[in-house]
Amino acid sequence: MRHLTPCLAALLLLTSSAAFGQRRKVIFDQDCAGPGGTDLQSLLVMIQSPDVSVLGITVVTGDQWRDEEIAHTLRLLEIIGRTDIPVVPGAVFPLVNTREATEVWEQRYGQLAYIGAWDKRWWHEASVVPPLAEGQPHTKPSDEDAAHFLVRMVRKYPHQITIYAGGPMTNLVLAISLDPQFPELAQGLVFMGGSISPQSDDPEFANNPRHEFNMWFDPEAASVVLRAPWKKIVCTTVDISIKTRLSQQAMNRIAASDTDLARYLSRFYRANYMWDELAAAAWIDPSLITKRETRYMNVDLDRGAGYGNTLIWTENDKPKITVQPVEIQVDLDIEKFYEMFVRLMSARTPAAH
Amino acid sequence: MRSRHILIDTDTASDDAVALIMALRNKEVTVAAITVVAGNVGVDQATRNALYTTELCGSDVPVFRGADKPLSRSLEIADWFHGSDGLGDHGYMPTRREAERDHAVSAILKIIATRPGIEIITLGSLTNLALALREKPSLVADVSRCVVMGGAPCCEGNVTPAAEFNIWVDPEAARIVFHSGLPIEMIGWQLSRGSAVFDTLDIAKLKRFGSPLADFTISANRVAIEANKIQTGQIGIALPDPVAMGILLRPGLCLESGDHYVDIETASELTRGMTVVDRLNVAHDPRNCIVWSETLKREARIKICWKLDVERWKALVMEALR
Repeated sequence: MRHLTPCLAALLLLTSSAAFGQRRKVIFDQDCAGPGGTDLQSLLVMIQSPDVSVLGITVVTGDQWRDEEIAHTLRLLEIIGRTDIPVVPGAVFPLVNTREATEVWEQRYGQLAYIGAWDKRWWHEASVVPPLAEGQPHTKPSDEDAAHFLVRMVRKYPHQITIYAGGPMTNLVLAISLDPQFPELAQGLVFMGGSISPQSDDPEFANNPRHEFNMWFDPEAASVVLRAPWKKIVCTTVDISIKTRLSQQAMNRIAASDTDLARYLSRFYRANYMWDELAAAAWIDPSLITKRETRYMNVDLDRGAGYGNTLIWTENDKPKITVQPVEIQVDLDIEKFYEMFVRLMSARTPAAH
Repeated sequence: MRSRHILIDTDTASDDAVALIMALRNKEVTVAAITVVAGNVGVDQATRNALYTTELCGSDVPVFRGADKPLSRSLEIADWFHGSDGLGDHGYMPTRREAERDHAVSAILKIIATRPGIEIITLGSLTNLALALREKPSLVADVSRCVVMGGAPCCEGNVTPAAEFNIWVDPEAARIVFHSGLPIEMIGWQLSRGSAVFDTLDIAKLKRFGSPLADFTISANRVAIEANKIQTGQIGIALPDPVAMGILLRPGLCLESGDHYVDIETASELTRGMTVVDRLNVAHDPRNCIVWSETLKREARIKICWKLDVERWKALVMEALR
């Protein structure tokens, strides 16, 4: 930038997409556990970006139950003054998988490290919303359900909307069932999910490398969605996600900014991998990713020890059944990613547009 | 007085069509909608068949096209039983009616919400209903009865030794519906066998009616008669969907029933879609309670009809076709 004349720099700013109102459209389909945390922080990456228009947030059970997640999402939007973004209730339960079936599975094959909303450490019924540490929301979710919303929006803006999936894919499989053209009417699918060969000492990943929560929670949904005719599929796996970490130093830099958002984030900070933040940020700025590979992907649906595991192939060895190419992110410019995250979280929230 | 509202979900082929006629001509019920699912034939053909049948009855009931394939498996149809068009390939005239624009799943959600207490009957695979339940699990509270034509309780199946076609086509969907808490009355395939088969005497009687609906029933079931003969050795028309419809319309036609735990096999290829019935109440047994825990925890017993009043049921079918 320092080699450019001020005049040219100004011109570049003017021609940037946001200046012409051509924000990239996204529907944020996710399990929105809160307060804080990777689900809501990735939502914030999208909302805080001046180049992005979040058309709606379709909420699905995953890390927490849907209704609890909706409450956290609504409250966050109130805090940042963006209650114009619709929060749309999605599926309460996965398509086929159940907590009871998981209990039976665990008796046979051993305990899973993480089962989200079904974990007995914080168990409550699906309809219960425990009191929120960040305060109760006053706003309400949409009356429409997620599947109908997704279909309606891609038909309103054909080939313009990216579907960002940061959780189990139940809402997306329901949308495909309602309207088989849904995938091809979207601009593409970006998702965090799957695990191939993560390099880690953490036994959660080392002992069960092909197991990943989002795919496992609703394997049947993931299998249908991954084989659907999307124009493009981009995937952030466990392998690349666990190279990232939200550090206390980064959070201190965010906290130095005098906004309600920064106070919210630092109050609910937990050290964690930046699973979903990376998927969202790399969609906004693909140059964060320094290495990518194309693979074909599906999910193990056999009701045995490998239920929900990630299956991948190359062009040469892929099976005869329909599988789609997936662009898998392999490596990233980690400092650039951290800088982008701190910058977006420290910024003033763009106004409703 | 038409005080009872019903919703029919169907993969309309030969015996579905007879069941639709029974409902549409019955004065005690209002058919709120017909929702169509892939099964016996593809969903577009099944929708045409449903529209054609409503037209034959002079009915303008809305017909909604639904799921074109099972939840996670590929569709396998039963044209070998019903003919390639599902209606015996007798070359019926193209229908003038058209399906509604809404998807069947949207229609099911809306209709249940606006008509609490509605009775549902499913004559095909359970994909549409399972999708509706996944979108809105609470719809269960607004359904007063859910009559399911499907399953082969404690007996042989008609598509594999273990399974009846409707459940076998989409076992994952069946599992969702059976676990949902809906007040299910399961009408197994076996009730339409034996003396319930419309034999040569019954068919001769239908022919003497000379009515368009009786003639349609015979020609629409032409292929089914042959297939039934090969499969069971019995000569005549087996009418599983009309048995279910009869029991929906007149619950007294079910002479014996029991409430049982039922689960659906989704893992095995050998027994895919088997309706496993805990007839002797052994699911609680320590040896079984782990495998059955999902069903036991939901305490959702399924009402299974074990015996049909064949004579009165046949009279009811005849009355609708006269």
